[in-house]
Amino acid sequence: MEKKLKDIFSEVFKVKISEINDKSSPDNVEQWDSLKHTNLIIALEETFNISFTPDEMIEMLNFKLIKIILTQKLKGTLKK
Amino acid sequence: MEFINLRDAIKSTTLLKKKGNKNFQEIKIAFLRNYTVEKIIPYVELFFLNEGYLPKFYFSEYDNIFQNILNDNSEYYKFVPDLTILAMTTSVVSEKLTYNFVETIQEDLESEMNRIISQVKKIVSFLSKKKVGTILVHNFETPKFPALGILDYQSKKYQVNSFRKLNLELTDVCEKYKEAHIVDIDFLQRFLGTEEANDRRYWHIEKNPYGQKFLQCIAQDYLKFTKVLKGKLRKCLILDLDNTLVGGILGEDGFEGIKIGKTYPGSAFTNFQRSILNLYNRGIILGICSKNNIEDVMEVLDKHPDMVLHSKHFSIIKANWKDKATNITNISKELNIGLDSLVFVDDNPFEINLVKTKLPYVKVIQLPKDPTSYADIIDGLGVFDSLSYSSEDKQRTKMYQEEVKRKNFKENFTNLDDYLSTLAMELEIKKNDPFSSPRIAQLCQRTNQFNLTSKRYTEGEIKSYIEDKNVDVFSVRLKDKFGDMGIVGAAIVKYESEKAVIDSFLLSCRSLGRGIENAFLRCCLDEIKERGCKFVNSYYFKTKKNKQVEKFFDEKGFQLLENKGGLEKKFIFDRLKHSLVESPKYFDISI
Repeated sequence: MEKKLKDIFSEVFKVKISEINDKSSPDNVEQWDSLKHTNLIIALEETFNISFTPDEMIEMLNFKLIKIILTQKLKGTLKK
Repeated sequence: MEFINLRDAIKSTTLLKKKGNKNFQEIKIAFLRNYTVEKIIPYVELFFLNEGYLPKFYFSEYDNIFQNILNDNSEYYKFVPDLTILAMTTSVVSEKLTYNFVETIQEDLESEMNRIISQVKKIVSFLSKKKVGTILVHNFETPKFPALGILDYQSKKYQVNSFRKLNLELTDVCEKYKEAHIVDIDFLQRFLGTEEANDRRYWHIEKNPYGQKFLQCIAQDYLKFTKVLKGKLRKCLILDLDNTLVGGILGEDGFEGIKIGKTYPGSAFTNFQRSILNLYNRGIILGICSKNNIEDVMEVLDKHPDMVLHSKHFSIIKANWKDKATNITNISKELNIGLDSLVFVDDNPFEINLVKTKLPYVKVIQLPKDPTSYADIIDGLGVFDSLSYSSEDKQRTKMYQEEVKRKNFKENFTNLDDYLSTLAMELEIKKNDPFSSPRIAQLCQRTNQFNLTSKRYTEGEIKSYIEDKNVDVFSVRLKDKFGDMGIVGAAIVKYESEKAVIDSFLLSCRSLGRGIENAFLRCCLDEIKERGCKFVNSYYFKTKKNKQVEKFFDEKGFQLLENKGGLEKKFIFDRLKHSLVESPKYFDISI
């Protein structure tokens, strides 16, 4: 999952996978603006076939948080 | 319509940009908007790059449209857009109509609607005066759920119909300004389904009302407009016969055995033919390319009682046993229509593949197994779309058929001048005739080969040139004993004190080979002389397709002034110094 997430990250923000870490956020990733943030969410939704709630979207403030939210989300879908 | 997911769109865009590097034509798109539309960027980029256009974007501040257009120094004007898109969503334009419809009294609702329309009118008329190029106006989407439930549909005054009325008035506004066109957001929403078209989450988080698929539908429409404006039109549809125009195989099933008519499966082919007939009536040239005996094909076309299409609808019929790539090449030559203006439809993957491989410029459509989908495929193609409709469109097939007659007649002559003088040709040249402007605009957009500068003017631009005292717009109409070919050429001449500039000079390819260019150029030069201009400048701008005229001005006595590697040539003509082109004697010219 983390590998896929990094792939998407690198495609959307045009950064090298090696440069992505838990602290990657709009503060240190140049292309991470509000538009690209939405693009990231859409790419995640399409790839993992999930739908985030608005609260989840807003909470995705850095790579680590995205990982946590995504993991929870995927667990949820499995249960269903 | 096929949809793409965002990751694939981004990946393909990156690849296309790498591959195409400098060959793209830049298209500048400015959004004047009151909501977030930026999410459309990846799709516009992908669809445009696929067609050879590189889009650049400008987005106005939210709900700041007037400040943008009233200030001459605004970023919007500095951007110099090709396309200006006026994207306003009703929920922002009017909270009253959207959220407080039921509680608002009728009078207030009406004045609210009038306010919105007059606002759009102000913007469009202002931009039209500023000559910012093409303006695309989004219309308003009808609400997902009407304010009064099922009662809402029962009166014109209620919410859904009020939105419809608003959209009709918006259409009226755009109809008055030739450079303004509607993007029917409400239609696109209906096409996709309101549920899919909207994504409330993004509306609340970032003031963006639309879902990903909807944005793709809208981006596709922008592309259709762009292609029309840039003259990238398909003009001719070539069809296979067996299991395409009719069900079954003529050679095996026979005249009585083929499927066409009122009941399934024949009804699917009937509807397919109806869709094709619609294209015919819009001025699209039709052709048949089939592996059959020509006699059998003609018998079906003209004697089968259930056929919608008959031989008179087709400009060319190739029924033989040659391979289809060869046949299509011949069709292109005989009709004098470029391969990149052709669309080929067949049910057989082998034929489709052959044509696709050998003739990559031809657009190929592979029909699926199920014939009930055929009509929708044709109706939804979009590649034949145009923004004007002239009387020539209705007669185009007749003109192409006359052209074939001319070719046969010509074969009896050995001397070209003898042949031409027996044609009884009449040229009717008109100056600044407003009734000709739709056809002149169409010629500007469609003519690729005999076109010296390939400037793609819209009807609005032609109209304003006609009104402009410092510009003359000439058109030439050709008749001969075989028929009336309509307006076949145009020239635009701009005057600057003692100098005249031939801004555009073009002739439809089906009128060539008769020396019209000499008669028409001479006529323009004579008119320029009447204006008292001492000398004339002219230009040749090289494109992929206008090589045949690269020496045109050199050969007509103009003197070359500048030559930028053959890509751009500038000429001067002075009646006192240079020899004047002669008009052929076999023309009967009226001005």
